[in-house]
Amino acid sequence: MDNWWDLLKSFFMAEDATRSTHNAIPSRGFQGNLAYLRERFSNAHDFSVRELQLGGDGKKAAVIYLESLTNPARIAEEVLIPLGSFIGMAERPQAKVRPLLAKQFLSSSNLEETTDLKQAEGLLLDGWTIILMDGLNTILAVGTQSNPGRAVTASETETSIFGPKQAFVEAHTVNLALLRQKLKTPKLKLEEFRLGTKSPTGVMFVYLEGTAPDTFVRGVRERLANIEVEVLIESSYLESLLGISTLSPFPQAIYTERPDKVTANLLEGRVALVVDGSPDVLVLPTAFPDLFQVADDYYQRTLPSLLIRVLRVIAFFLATTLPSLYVVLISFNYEVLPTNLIIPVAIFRSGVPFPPFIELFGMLLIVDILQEGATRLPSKVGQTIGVVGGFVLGQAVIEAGLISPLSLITAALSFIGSFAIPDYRVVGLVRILRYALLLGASLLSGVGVVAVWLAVFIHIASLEVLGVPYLRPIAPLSKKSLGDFILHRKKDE
Amino acid sequence: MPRQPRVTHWQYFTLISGVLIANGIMSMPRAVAADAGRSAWLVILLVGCIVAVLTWLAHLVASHFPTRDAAEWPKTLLGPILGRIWMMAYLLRAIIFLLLTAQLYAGYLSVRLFPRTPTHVFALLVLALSLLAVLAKVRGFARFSEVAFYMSIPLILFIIIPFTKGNTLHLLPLVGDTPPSDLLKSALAASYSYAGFDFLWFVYPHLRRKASAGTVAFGAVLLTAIVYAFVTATTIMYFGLEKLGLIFLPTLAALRGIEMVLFERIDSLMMFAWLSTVVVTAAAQLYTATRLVQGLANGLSFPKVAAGLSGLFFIVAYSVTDLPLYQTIAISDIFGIFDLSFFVTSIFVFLILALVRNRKGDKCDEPAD
Repeated sequence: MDNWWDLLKSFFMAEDATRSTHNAIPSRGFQGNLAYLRERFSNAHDFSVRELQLGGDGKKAAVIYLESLTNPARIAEEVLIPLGSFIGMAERPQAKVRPLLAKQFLSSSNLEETTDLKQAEGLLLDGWTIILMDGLNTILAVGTQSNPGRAVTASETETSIFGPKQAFVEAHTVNLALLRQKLKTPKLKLEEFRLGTKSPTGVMFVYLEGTAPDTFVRGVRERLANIEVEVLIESSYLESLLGISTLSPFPQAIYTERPDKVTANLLEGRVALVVDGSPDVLVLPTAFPDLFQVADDYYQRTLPSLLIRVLRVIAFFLATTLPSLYVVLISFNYEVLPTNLIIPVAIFRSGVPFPPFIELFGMLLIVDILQEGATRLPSKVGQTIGVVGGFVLGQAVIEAGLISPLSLITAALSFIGSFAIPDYRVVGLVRILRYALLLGASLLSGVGVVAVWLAVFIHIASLEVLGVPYLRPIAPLSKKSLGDFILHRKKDE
Repeated sequence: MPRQPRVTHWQYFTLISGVLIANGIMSMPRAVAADAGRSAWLVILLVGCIVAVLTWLAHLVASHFPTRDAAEWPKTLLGPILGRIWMMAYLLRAIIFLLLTAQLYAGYLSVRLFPRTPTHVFALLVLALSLLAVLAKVRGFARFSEVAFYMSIPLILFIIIPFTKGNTLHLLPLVGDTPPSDLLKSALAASYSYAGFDFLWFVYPHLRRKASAGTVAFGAVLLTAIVYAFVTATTIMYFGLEKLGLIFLPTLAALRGIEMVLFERIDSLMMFAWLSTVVVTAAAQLYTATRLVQGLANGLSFPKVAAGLSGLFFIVAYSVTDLPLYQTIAISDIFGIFDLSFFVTSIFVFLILALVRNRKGDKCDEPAD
């Protein structure tokens, strides 16, 4: 009996969690450091070491860089020529050599000093040139990166009619420059974190001091500092690493490639994470209503902007709920429809062999397959698929009497509605909701639809993005924020 | 991290009114008008005012324990043994209330819309959604109650239409000629509709601001009373007393008369929308039951207890699936009287004990045992 009770008790008992940290590698002197880096970069074709004789007493220096990431002209100009003129001065005591070399000879504005080999390794991988000197424990690094990335162009995924057209690129230095151009204030803070134990990637934590809540900034900083990951490939990986659940189908972070959108969000007290190698900047915290906003909303007058956002919400509702409402009204609760509407509906549906649920489920499935197929194909072939799928297939199934025209209209409206939502990540959510609601409607009619929506509301009511409620400013209700959200009042109004 | 957001006054308001409103809005007019006649709406308002005062007194009890809920402080006030006995009685009451809420909604749905679907299917739905709401923790549940409150607004707004079409003469004379004994009977019949205000004992420790929370709770019950009185007056005006006695769910029947361009039977849609408030009520009872189990046996995990209780409730709901709706309603009427008596007694005893402890200089808000 005791065992049974213990088993039952252990099942109902709460559980605990654990954590861990990582270490630096101290400098090992000239030969030790050189050997360490040679060993770390063995079999790396682009790893270059140039050893230099600095004086008559056999003192050496080594200039180390990765050819693939560095600019040879900058290495010559900012490292090799200054080191050449330093010959003869290296015999001085270590305490004098380092400041002399760093402050008078190396003219680059990008100069780092470290005694941590791990950090030196990271700098090397970022395109910096490392200088090791005999008798000098400090490792010097000069910024000599080449910028093979693409130029700043107009955004392709977030097009706009009004406002600036620039989009972020892969190089985070360029992205930070774009942000600095928009926010010319010393209050714009950029804190760098290097994430990845196997391949470190620079992540810039951007916020406006005094605007972003201190507690939130502190919280994000702590989480970034505690992240343990082998490689950070893309900014979307950060979401789960920051402790945001990716199991929920609801997007909990804004990803944008528009500097003006990031700027607007920073001014509203949010923070941004710029990942080197990714053109998508992560903005936190995000609330559900934010998914219905685009940068253009800020550049329009209040009422047209409000109307468009209301239309987007209606489109979201149509995209998710219209097929299930159709099933509820046609299959179960037709008494809800006015009599003069039931008769034409009955005429259209006469002779259709399938129930509305099967009709709609089949059509939505086919359209989703067509959409997925068209996304992965070159644009011209994709258009053909759209024409074949949309017109030819649709016309053929109606003529064959397999589906009713009303079902086709319902599916088409639902599908078009999903494209009125600005964030493409929401389209995936719409698909899930659409099928779940359809299933709910087919099982329990309107009760099933309301139940699915209630489950969704409970889920999003429980979501918090790094401690900030996801349903804000609706629940918890914030009259001021809700007013700002609805009327889109600008900061200076 | 930012300070954990806690329950706001507005959420407190929506939670308390949300827990109450599901029980009475559809069926109460018939139950009360059967005895009180045309004065039913006045009786409902009067009972509402009394419950509002009780709520305020219950808040006074809770205010002695700013960081602990009713799963902890009864042991401090009543002692470990008596405290546990009281908590067990409270647990039993929460279980019955949850089952009644789920069964009544399921029964109404079966009778009105889905006669071939077994009631336990709908009861399962209510229980599953309640479990989800409870697992969202108090903060998540409070936010959900806010959303559910907004969802119930159309239901109340639609009632304005039959109100405008009703005959005010059906309400006259205002006080009527009902004997006091019948008024008392109808007041007792109204008590089930006000069951659930005690949930404030579990939300109070999570409030962001404790100041003036009593007024908020009082206001929430008062608003519910006004809505109930308005709905009852509307149904009396719309149907007249003679016809009202024959109608099973008068509020829905009144909504049936509304015709719109796209929808002809608003009552069916409102029956679906009612689910949101039913879930708030049921979830509040599931939360109460789970916390009480935790209070009775320390160290149990909240999600697992909540899931276990839901499973247990479903088995019970499954086994009473053949219980006729009129019997469920009769049980709910008896339960309402028991519930009111239980809380009137408990509130006064707790209040006296808390005041005595304060006078003695013992701090109330200390961990029990």
